[in-house]
Amino acid sequence: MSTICRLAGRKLPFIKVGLDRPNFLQLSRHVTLKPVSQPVRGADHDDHNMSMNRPMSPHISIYAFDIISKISISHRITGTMLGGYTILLGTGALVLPNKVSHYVDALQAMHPGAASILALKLVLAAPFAYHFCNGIRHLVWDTARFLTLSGVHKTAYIMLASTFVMLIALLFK
Amino acid sequence: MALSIALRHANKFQGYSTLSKCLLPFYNNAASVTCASTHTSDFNKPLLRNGNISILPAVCFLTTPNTIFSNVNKSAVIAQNVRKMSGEDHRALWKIEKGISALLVGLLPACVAFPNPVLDNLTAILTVAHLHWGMEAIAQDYCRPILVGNAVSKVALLAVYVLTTTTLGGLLFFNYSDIGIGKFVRAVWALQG
Repeated sequence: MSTICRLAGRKLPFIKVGLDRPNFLQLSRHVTLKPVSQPVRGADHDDHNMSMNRPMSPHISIYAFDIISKISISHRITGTMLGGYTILLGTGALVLPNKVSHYVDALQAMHPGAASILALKLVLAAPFAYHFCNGIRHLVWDTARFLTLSGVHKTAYIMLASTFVMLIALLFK
Repeated sequence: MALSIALRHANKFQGYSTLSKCLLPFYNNAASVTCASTHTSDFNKPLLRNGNISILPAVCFLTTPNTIFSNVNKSAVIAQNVRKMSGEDHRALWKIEKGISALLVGLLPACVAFPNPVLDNLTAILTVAHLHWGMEAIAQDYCRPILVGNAVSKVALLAVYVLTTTTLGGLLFFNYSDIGIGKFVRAVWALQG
């Protein structure tokens, strides 16, 4: 021990400067210096975390992609589809040369068949029914109701059933 | 020992220095020790550092003895934190967004059931508003500057504005010069196989 202290004392002569009696306790104090790369402090939280190589919070990948997650992302997907239809109608009205009845009549004149019409209505009505019913579910949540795990599941099944009924009603109306 | 650790990890505790600030009104001096023991900075720092929104208040919130909040509405506390931390007050806009969503629930079936210019134009405006906020959220979620760069992020947001403005103009024009949204839906649904 005394050897270690002496060696340590010899290696750190600068500490002795100004000290009449070297403090051996101080000299033998175990300090480990490790080179740690200075994290780059970026403009915001994300920058900082990425520079530190930290995993993304809240670690989305560790969770099962369960029915609730699927329903949640489906809401955005169906919303995007409906948004696409809306944008098509809006921009179509601006750029297409004829009135819309011209195109509807042209489509009818092609005699597309019952299956094609049903497919068309499905593509239009399914996202609408889903986004409509799940949107109501979101509005119910926004009033701070059913915000429990069982509430989230219960409303999910009610929503799916309502969507199915609404879709059937729309398709065969 | 504790002090040296505290000093060494001063960076990590930066977030904590903000927490007791947002909860300050609800702390008495004794209670603030729970969080304030890790304080390395003064109370007068701006709450938002480098736009860094910390989730730490929630942690502090959970580790705080419940008795402190026994007579305080918790949601009010959370609301106050969020309001202070986000820098902007989004409560009014949130209410408008949700109000328009709720209106659309009744408006869309009404527009198809009773097609008329008033309902058509109302549908156009409210639908596009709803569409705009949805697309804005998507652009902000998936085109974050950290992922795609500042320029692309701004272009994406600009594209949202261009698309929704064009769509609103197009739909209003459609209602004015053509059959209108309600009758159009009926026409599509009247297609025979």
